[in-house]
Amino acid sequence: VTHRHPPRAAAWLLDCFVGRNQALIGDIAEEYRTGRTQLWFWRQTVMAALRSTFAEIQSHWILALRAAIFGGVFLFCFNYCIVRPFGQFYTDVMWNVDPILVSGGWSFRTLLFITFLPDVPVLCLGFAVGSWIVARLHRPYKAAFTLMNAAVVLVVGTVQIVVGVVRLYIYVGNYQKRHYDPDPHHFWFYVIVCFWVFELSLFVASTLAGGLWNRPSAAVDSV
Amino acid sequence: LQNLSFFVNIEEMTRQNSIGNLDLVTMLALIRLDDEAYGVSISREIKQLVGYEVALGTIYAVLERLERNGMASSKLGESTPERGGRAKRYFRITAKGLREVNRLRRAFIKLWQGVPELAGRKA
Repeated sequence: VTHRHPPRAAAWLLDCFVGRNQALIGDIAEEYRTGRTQLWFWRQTVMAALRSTFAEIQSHWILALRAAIFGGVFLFCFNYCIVRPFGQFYTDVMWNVDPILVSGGWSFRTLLFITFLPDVPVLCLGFAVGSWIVARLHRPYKAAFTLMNAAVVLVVGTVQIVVGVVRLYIYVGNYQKRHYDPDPHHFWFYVIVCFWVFELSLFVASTLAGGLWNRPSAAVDSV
Repeated sequence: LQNLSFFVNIEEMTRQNSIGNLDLVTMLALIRLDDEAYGVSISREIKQLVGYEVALGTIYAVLERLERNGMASSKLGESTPERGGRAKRYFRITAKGLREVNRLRRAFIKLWQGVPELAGRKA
């Protein structure tokens, strides 16, 4: 571990979120070179990013609200205009290719080819494009609004997962009663919940990637 | 009830002036450091004063709030190689900030005088 070079990812994030406050980046760099650990650098980066985001949302809350609403409306339209028709088209194609895969029970193949493949990559694209447009429309605050939108995606997604888990739990319980399955912890229950969590992390990552895309990286090396 | 009124008074006092604990500690650090107050030195001074480290981003948020409220001012200083060529931003407390610190000091002393436990007597 060398103290000359801070973690590149953290330095890049610092530049993204507090690029306008060069004195703060200089202070973090100066203190880091006195022998601080990489963990310290990460902590400073996260705190500075969060503080900067809160401050910008607080002082430009109308723009922040507009950015959040635009992101939501874009995703709603994207879902109805692209994801759903594409999903339907994909299912039709798969029905012709392998009807058992589409109509069959739970399996990893069904999960991958029917649940994951049509929707998730296209939705990731939607999250990334929506976030990119929001960032382009709010250039001075793009990092802060991107983080805000990612937080909104995380919160809404978490609520959906919790609701989904409750519904799935009831469904699995009824399924077990109908099929006299003695196993109270159905294997697929956990697989699907893990899949949802994975899916949500992809959506959050796509939102961040789309919004923070094409940030200037010249300053990273000099941190 | 007496203790409760103590906290109500403090809360009222800080709300009126938008000064929190960290704001006050930061202003005290600015006074102590005088001309040498910039992010790193303020952070070290705060650690020495209160015994724990505060993130530099948090200190800047406080300094910017104080500057907005006219209690501190800043100017850019020299840049050094260990800072990646970035200039230091020096902060100073203003006359208004100094008045606020003095007012808070007087108020705190007054409030402490009314707490028997702190005077070494039994309640």
